[in-house]
Amino acid sequence: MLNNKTLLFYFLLFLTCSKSFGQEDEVTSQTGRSKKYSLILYLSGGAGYFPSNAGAPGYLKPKLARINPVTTARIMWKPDHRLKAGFETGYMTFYSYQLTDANGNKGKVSLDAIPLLLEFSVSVKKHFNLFAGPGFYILKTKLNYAGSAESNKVSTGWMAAAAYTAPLSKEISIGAEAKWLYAAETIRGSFGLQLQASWKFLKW
Amino acid sequence: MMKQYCVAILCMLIFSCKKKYEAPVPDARWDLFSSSTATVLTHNTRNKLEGVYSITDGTDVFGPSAALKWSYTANGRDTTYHLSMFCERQVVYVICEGKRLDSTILLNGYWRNVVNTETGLARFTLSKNSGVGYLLDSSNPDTIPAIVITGTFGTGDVPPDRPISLQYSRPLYRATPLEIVAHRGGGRTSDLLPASENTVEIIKMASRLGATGIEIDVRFTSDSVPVLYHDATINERLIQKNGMVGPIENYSYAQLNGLVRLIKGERIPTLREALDAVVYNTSLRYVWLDTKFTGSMQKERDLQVEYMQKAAAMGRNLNITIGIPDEDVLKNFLKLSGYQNIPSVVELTPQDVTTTNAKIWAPRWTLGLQNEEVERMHAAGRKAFVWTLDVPENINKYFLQGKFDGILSNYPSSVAYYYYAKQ
Amino acid sequence: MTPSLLKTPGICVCIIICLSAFSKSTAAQNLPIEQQKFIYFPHPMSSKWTTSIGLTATTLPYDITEELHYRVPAGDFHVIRKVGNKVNLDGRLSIQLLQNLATVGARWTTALNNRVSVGAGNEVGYWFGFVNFAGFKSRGSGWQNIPNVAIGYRFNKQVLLSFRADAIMNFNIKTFAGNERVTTDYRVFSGSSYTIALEQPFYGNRNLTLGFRALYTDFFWQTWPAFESFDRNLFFPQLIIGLIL
Repeated sequence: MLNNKTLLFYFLLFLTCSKSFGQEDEVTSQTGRSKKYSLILYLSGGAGYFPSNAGAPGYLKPKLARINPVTTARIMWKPDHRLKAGFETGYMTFYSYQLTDANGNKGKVSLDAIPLLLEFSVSVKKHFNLFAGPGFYILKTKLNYAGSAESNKVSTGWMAAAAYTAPLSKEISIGAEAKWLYAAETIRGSFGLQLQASWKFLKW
Repeated sequence: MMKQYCVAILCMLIFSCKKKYEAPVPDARWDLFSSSTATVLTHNTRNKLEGVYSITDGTDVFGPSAALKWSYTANGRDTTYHLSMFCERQVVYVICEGKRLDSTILLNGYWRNVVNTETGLARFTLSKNSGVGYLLDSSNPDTIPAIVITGTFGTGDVPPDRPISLQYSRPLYRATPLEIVAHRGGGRTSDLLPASENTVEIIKMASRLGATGIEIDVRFTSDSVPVLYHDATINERLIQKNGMVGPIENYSYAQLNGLVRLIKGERIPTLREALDAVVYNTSLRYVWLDTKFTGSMQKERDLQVEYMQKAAAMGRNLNITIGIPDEDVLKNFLKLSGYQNIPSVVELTPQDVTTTNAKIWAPRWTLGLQNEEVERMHAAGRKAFVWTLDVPENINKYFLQGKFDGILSNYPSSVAYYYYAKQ
Repeated sequence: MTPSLLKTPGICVCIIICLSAFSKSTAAQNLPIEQQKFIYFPHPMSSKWTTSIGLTATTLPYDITEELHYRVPAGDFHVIRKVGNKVNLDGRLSIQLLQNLATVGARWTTALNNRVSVGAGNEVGYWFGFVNFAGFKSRGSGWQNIPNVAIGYRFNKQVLLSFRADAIMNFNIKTFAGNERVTTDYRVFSGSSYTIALEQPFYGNRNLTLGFRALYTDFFWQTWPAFESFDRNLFFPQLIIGLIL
């Protein structure tokens, strides 16, 4: 459980360890204030890598599938400074594994999730943004062993991500994002790489 | 930049440190105790060793007094006897096995403080001038000589070197019977006991921890097998993570039995396996089936009948009651045929006790002593148990001022001390 | 104590990403500290009052909550008042309606140089709570004393980073379940906590505090209704979000 918050803490810590806060296109003044507020939609799709063996115990002789799809969408409010706030959700698979029980019977377990995350973001260099935030994951177990079963549970969790996007126009950008998604009930998180499209769909 | 990373690394070290609490049972091998010439203690010697002792050396760890009582675990024809020392200091106990070596009695085991992780080895010797002649003699003289148990204790697996000394002061109190009911089969997983809660393993330990009865939590799998599990969901508090989440009722027994291991490596037991252990492995005389499910209670009832009959066939006086903790369970209980003749323990109102004709009324301790209501229960031929008393001062208060017939506790060793040390 | 985080692949990944991101400095500009608003940053105040509203979310350990693993939110009202060149008063309300904590204290702060400042203070707190659960009433109250030290680093631009360490002392804890006193045996020195807080402009003239507090204690006041019996320090991670008005 410590990891849940400490990784977020590190993220915030390193986020502040730099002297290098660059300025975005619309940052105009010495105080970093921009001209307008805006809402930005991010759509991302890619794969997640589950690096841990925790969650697939050795007594089940697991064959772990570590790479699984991760699809997310987030909406961020960009006020007149460089700190942004928003919300992220999506659908992902943390991990799945083939198992063999003590009697040689085979089966499969898959742990999927819907993240529901409050997020903060800051631009650290031109087109380069960091994201982090706490929230919840609706975890879903899909089990095929001695029949099939599905079961859900809500877990606390958090995420952290770094994204680089290249603008196609004033409103639309495409890029890539590296992210860490962590649900406490999984013990470990998933490292994801995604292609990303962002759309600044509202300004005022 | 270097300064910033130094700060980062410092913070990382501070925030990275999460202490993992464990209290493993120490390795109690003792060559002298394992000697081929050492023999088991007789029934008579074991009985004579029981009593309330004052502690002279070691009071900082064990407190000023302890109650010594034997219990046993049966395994087929083999029976293992353990001497438990229930200490006055909260919540410390010692568990030993005993042997005779020539004209010396050896006690070998370990101690544990349940509210933290303190534990270590404990070894005792009774030889000349410590009453060993009386203890080993098969006769029972009227006068009891001074019995002094001396030994050493330590921390962890380190050979014990701190002195401990106990002096017999009086026999155990037994005048008014009391049911000491251990929560979750013997104790909670969070108290870092040698076995997980609600398992066959902890049930076999319950008597060593001071219990005369146990409370266990009953749920049903998706294919209607009654199993022991407390929480509503499978979670990392109780099981080794395996990707399975959510309510236990969403999985079949085959799935749980094949895939789930509890924190200490045990499987989730069926209610049948648990009651088997009670009847065939322990001397427990009471089982409280805490009903954690809603739905038909017929299977629970059938197992209750079956195992009370099995116990009776062995000459055991075992009482198994179906727990009624809330209104939903009460409604289901009232659907059972002949419910008024089914032994039950009701946590609700005295009126509900009358409606169900429950054998036991079990109010929560926070409602107070309720002496008048308890006396009314007694007058109606019922018993009253109180739950869940853990704070030693409160346990003692309920002994001194209350009239309950049983106490449910996470710390049965504390209840055992205050009960057996009562004067 | 195990530095378990260093063994976690995810941490390494995050650290590598962040270090890479910040490996090259770009020219940045300063905003005078007198023009910045802060609550946690240990620096002599320039304005008379600074106020923050927000919330804390504390994850309670399984040892206490058993079945559930959840964050407990609490309203957080924080105000500091300048009373001298280097001295300010510090008041805070942590509100959950049925249980609340109020602390007041004083803090001395000084700037060591243009970037680094330090502070030391002491706060006295009183918590109280009422719970009516399943037909029986519980109540509790107690006093806390929280001596603390802090160090702050002001980055270029408007980003203020503070690190604060507290000792947690509990006194006179009284909890009642129904009419029964639950005798408690808590240590006076109940543990410690460590807070990292980041303060920077958010929108308009409002600043935002994002913080993380790690509490290691055998008694966290929000858990008094659990009447837990453990005599060992448990870990309570706490998120802090505050809007500095």
